[in-house]
Amino acid sequence: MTKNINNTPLTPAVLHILLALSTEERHGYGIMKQVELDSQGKVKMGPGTLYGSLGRMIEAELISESEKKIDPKMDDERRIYYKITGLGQKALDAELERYREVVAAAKQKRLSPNTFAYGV
Amino acid sequence: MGYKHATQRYRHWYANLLRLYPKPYYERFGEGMEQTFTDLLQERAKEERGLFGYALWVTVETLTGIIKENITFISMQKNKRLIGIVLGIALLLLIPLLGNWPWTLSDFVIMGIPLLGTGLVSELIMRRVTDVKHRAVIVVVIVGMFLLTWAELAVGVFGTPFAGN
Repeated sequence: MTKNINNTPLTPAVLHILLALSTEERHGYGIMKQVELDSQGKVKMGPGTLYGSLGRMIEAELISESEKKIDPKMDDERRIYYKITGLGQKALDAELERYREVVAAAKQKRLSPNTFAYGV
Repeated sequence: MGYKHATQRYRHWYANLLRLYPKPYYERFGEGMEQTFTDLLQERAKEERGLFGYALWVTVETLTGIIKENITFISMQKNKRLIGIVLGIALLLLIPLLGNWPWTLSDFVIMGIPLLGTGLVSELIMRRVTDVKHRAVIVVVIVGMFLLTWAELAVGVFGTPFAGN
């Protein structure tokens, strides 16, 4: 099945998970904390939502499971890490480009938050 | 000490809750979900924040995921079985076709409809009847009725007006 990644908008959960994994591999808790940080607390998900999204993203080949290893910042338990795939990176790039186009269109119409409607 | 005991208790409770996920899902993500839940509780415990309310929220949130994944899993399983039944019937009907049996179109229709009917009724029984023994008995009876009907249509074992020759 060929996926047209450039035309399909991502859900907020998927977008933030890809953003979190774009810089480094992370385990579940690490992804949740990074998503909370990136969204300034606006996007909150529990393990049910997170792993449901991870499962669908793995099926869509946007991310993959990496090795199981210990997080030196945490305890001795070995955790499964997740990493972004090439397809996931492309999907993220396409989504961010969509956002840039929307923001550019809004700025043209003087709709950005710090601009008055009539250019005052 | 109180937080440690509470974290262990909630972790144990959450680990049992996760078993409600479909088996393939649980085997893949169960351990990770349990670890993530524990990490979240430990974070709250360090900040000396309440655990019960948070554990309750995560339970409800996870239950939503459990329902969703089970519906997806069941619908996939049922469709796979139904597709298998239809493909099996198509393969059976290929035998007289490829074997150059002297069958007309009406023969394929007369054979195909009861076969499909038997398959669909069996699928319905598999979905509705939960007891395995009852399910097996009913399906055997249905398949037996089909075979007797087929024998009567083919060679007329009972000598009914529909007997074949």
